Amino acid sequence: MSKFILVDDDSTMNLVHSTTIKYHKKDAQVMEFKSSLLALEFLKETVQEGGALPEYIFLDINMPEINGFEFLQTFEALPKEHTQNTKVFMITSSLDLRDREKAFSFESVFGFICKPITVRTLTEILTTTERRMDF
Amino acid sequence: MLDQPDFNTLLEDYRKLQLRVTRFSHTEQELINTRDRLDQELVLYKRMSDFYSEALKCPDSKTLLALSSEAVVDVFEFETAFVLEQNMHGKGDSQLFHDGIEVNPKDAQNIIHDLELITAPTQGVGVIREKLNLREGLKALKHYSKAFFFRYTDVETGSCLLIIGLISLKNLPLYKSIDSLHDTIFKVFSQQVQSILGNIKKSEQIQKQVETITASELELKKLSLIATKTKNAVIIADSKGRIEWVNDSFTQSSGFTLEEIIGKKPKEILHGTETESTSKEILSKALSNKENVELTLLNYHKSGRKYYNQIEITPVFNEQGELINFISLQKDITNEIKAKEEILRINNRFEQIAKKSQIGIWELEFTDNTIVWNDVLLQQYGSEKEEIKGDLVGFWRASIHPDDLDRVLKSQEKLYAKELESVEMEYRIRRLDNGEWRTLKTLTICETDDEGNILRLIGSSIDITETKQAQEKLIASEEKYRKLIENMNLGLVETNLKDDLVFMNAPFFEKSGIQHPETLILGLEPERSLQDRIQKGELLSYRRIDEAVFEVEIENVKNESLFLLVSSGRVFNQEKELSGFINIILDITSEKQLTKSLENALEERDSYVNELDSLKQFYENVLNNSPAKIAVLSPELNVVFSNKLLEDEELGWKNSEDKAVEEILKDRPEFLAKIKEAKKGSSLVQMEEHLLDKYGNDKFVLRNILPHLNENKELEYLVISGVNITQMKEIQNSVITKNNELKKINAELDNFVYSVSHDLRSPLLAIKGLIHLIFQTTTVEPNVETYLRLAEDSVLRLDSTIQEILDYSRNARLDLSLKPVDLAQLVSTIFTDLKFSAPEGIALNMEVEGSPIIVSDETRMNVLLKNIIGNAVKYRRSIPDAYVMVKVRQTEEATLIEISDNGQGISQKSIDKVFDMFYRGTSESIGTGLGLYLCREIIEKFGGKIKVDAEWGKGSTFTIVHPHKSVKA
Repeated sequence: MSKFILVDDDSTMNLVHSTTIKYHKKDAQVMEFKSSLLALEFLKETVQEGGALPEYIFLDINMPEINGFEFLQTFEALPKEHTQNTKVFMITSSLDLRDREKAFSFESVFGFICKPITVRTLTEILTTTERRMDF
Repeated sequence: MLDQPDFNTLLEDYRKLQLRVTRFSHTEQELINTRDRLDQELVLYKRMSDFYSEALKCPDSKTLLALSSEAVVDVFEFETAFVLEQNMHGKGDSQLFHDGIEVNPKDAQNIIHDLELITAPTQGVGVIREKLNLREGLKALKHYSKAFFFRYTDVETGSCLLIIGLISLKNLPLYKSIDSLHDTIFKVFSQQVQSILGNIKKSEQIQKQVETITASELELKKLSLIATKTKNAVIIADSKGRIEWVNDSFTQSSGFTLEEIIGKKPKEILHGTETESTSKEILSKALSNKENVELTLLNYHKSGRKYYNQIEITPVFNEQGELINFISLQKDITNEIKAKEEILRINNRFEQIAKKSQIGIWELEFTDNTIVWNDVLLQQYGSEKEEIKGDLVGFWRASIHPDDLDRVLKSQEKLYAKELESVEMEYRIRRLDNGEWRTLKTLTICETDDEGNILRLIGSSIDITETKQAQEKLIASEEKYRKLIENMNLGLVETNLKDDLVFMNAPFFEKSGIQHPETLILGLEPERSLQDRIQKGELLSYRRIDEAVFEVEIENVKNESLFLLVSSGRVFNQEKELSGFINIILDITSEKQLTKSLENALEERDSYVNELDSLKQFYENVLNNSPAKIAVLSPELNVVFSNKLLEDEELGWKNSEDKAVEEILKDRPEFLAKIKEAKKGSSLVQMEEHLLDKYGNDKFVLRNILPHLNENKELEYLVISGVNITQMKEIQNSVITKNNELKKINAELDNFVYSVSHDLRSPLLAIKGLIHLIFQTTTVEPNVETYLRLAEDSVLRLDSTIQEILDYSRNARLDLSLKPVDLAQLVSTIFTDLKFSAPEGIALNMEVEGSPIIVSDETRMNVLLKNIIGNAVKYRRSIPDAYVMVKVRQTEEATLIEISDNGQGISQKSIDKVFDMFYRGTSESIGTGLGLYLCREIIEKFGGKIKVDAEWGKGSTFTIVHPHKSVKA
């Protein structure tokens, strides 16, 4: 069973993505967060309680409260033994190459994907084991 | 009763008769037996006789023994036979023969051993009746029971003969009856064999001796022939050293005949007072040790004449190793020794000459590769023999000057290759003792034998350093003087009394264009010949300046009039008689002209002075009315000139002529420092000076301090100019402020566009996602699907419009951000992106020639390529081999990127407008009309170009010319 966390202030987007995931992978456990702060809180608590972090985090960049990059900074500051099995995918509407470069400067980031996720991209995300520039 | 026989008597008689009959038949039987035995014996004897006659014909022992072994079987009807013949002293010469049985050769030795065992105790004939039970060799014979053997040792020939016949167990009973017979006959047989063998052996021995004797006779004959015929003297002496025989050559070389000296010792007659005692000792020691000896000795002829004798004495031993003779071979080598001495003497003399004349000599013997240098040669190389330790070739090579080595070795090779017989060279060597370079002149001669093989190289070497230096000096000084005279601005002409030209320095006359220098020879009466020549038209005029010195005017080949100063002199020979004339000629034309022009110049000077005054006035006017403040300083930094503006605007300049500038600028150390800097560096120095005017307003003056240098780069004066730049400064400042503001606004705008695009796109993408979701999760009616597809297309179009507007805005506002960009990587990322948005069925290819990395703006390059490649994909045709090909190649000035496709192409009427803003080719177009416009804008920002070739329905090719940029360090 794979665990997914979706972080996007646009709840429609979250709905689209979670439906796509569940449709594609019936046993997937998907959590949606409209607030990036709450998502971060949840992750911190999970670590404190010794629970397993999700395998996949789908992260938007432009969000109120804290944006995707700030989220990543805090996330990567968490103990490594908890975060090392989590793959972060930036799911964004940004077309800026600078955003793409910046995203890959975080080692937990495995991909930079233009919204919305299609079944085809999802298949590739679930099979990839390496960081890829070209989703 | 007489007439009536008694029955009893009759019976008695009958019995007697019966007994006699019985006896008779017994005798008869015996007789028959005896006859049979005799018959058999006879057969055996007959057979033996046959063998005997056969045996006598045998040529050697081997044949006999083989025949014997056959006979043992054939004659005696034994089953198996062995015949062994051995040397009494050792086992070496055993000969084994057998018949009636197979014998493995490797068992032969064991068989011999066993046979010896059987017969060991007996000499003569023997019979063994027991079963034979022997070891290895006769294992095969274990079924044999009876053996007849004969063993006999012949002392005379030293050989032992063994003959054995064997009968098997199986056949034994048959032989019982003839046992006794066999004993005798076998003995007779064996003795016969033995005696025949003895004979053969003896004759073989004799034959061998005869052969040996013949051979040694032959040897002796040969030897004596050699001894007689040889030119060398031969003495044969007995073991005590007394002469037994000498040959004729000895008599010739020593004067003694055999008769005179037989029985004497050679040393008694040949040695004399001067015979070397050490050699004598060697000789007698070798003789008493019975050793070979070879030496040269001074001997005396019968007449008392001394001669050198080369002697070789060989002791001769007999077979028992006893000394029987000495043979002495002698050769008179007096001539050779004398010749050697002569050669030595000549060599010495030659060496002496070489030493006296300082000729270095060397020899390289090819047969044994020995090299000899004489002392002079060693001296030339500044070395002692010990220093160079025998490696003369190596030393020689190392001594040669590197620039000469190649040439020297090549010449040497020519000798080796027999192209030349001798080579003469000059080369430099470095002396070993003081490291001085010396020049040697060498000659190397190659000596060969008749077949042309090199025997030795002989060389001589002379140190010609001093000679060469002197020669070079002489040549140099000759050259110097010759050049001096030739290039002298002085003509020299010498003639003899017959007016023949003896010498002239041609360059002078060529330069002056005088064709007949001899016309300037004035002879004994100069003035008369001058007048003559003027009449002949050879000269134009003359003027006497001194006795024998004249100024002569002559016309040269270019029809120019030359003035020459001619000084006439006389030449005398060794007998102090007049032999010719020599003239020294000086061309004074230019001096003549200079004088003239000087006069002219003086005339002109006055008019120039006037003109100069007015010019000065003019410049001062100009300077005074210049908008710049100008001052001129002397190299000592005193004021030479200051213009009116300067005097008006700045304090201290009025009436400042000849004042030190240091005094005027004492409150402005910065300005003063700059002036000094300009003077020191002899180059323009600029400075901006901030002053306050009399009302306290800021005032900026730009000052140029320009040092003026003369032709010799010496400072003549400094020009200081000042321009008021206060206004310019103000404008500049406001521009900077505005620029900063603009930058800020731009950045804000960029942020704004970024946010807007995000905010605009987010809901659009959400719609896109939802549509996908509907298609994925629900089955929709066909008409609903069509509507949804249309909705999706609209969303995509709106999205790309937003993207293009964003890109356009970026390109217009942002500065280029140059860095190395990998085009190959960029293009392949674009390809991957496109694969998601476009279905399969179009091949995306790339070819890169040269480096794909260029200096560019990555974001803009991305937009540019994405647009064009995207268009190619978007407007493809549905054909099986649809493709897009991106080619990157480098030229000297630019990177060329060619994007070609076989898509819909562009119609002729549209092709000129495709790059225009909001131009859309067809109503089919799904674009905004901004894409290609943006592409052109971008490439123009790089200073490059974009062009398109296309045909409607066939495809299009876009070519981007991106000039090379360099990243500033």
